[in-house]
Amino acid sequence: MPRSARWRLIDAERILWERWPDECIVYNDLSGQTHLLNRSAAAALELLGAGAESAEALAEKLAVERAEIERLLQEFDQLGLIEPDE
Amino acid sequence: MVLGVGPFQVRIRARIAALTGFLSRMYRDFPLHPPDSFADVRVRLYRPRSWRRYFQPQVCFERDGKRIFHPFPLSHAPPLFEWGLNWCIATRAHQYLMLHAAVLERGGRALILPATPGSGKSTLCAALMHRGWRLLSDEFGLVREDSRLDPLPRPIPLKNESIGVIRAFAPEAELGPEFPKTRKGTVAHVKPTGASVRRMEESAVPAWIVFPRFQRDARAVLEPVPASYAFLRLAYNAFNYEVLGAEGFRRVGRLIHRCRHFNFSYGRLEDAVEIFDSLASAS
Repeated sequence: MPRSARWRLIDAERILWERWPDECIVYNDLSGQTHLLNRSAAAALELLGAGAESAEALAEKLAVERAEIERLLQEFDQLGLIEPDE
Repeated sequence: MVLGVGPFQVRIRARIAALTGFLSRMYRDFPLHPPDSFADVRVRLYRPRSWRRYFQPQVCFERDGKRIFHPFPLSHAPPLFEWGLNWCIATRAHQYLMLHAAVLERGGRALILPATPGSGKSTLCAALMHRGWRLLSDEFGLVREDSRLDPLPRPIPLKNESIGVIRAFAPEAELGPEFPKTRKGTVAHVKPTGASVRRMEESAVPAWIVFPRFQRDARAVLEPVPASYAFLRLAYNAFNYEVLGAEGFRRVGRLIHRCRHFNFSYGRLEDAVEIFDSLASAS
């Protein structure tokens, strides 16, 4: 993943959310899959829904190690929840 | 004949004495519609024509003229009908989110008991039905778009030792014949109570989702569970969550927001009835 790469939520209208204080569940209408997210994963995905972000920016906004954010972005990408912002 | 079962009209064609006897006993309180009525489900049970019919008579199940399932022994025509009808509903009635769950009602509010292996769902359901709860269904939680649950009362299939347990727990329960050596062991059906059938057009508001787990001799414990846990267990246990896609997600979400959710372990039916009664009267 290039250091400057920016990512965004794949299609905000096709991602449905159910939120609770510590967890959230999202449904990706493009893949038909349902995902359980912990608080930090949900926060990251919400930020990507608000606009494209780089791993560095996300790590700073969420006060999380950059390596952890990169792992998360990789996982989101594999699940088809995000796409590169070009 | 065309039988009214909850929201469905089922056309049944069969000339099998064991099935006729079973239907006239287990479904005697259900409405019969004129033979030319519209039917949502059309099934036929028949004896296949082969040399085997002289030695090991069998019965086949057909929906809309197409055979489904392997033939069963002729004596198992009633359980084949029941399982076949479940299959017809589970594969077609996508106007509902169909939870694989028992559902009972008290005071207009519905208790949802999702089915999982070892849950003792049917035994618990039969027990509650004979302690003042109205049976909506032993097998299908039919969730409408407005989140209400539609009833689909049918005979409750008990398996193996559960048959004796319910005979002892509710001597007034009307059980059908025992069918030994089915794929699920010995099966016998409990007839739905008259009130459950008479009120089968009355929907109920979802109130409690309880994941039961039977553990012999265990103390009854009802523990709240996180909403996300309840959501995932309920969704993955539904017959058609994936078929409904985003609408399935929304319906499960609304149910979770409207209900309280619990895990429930129990070893005695009496304890279970007491706990559910107090749940119904407390909130």
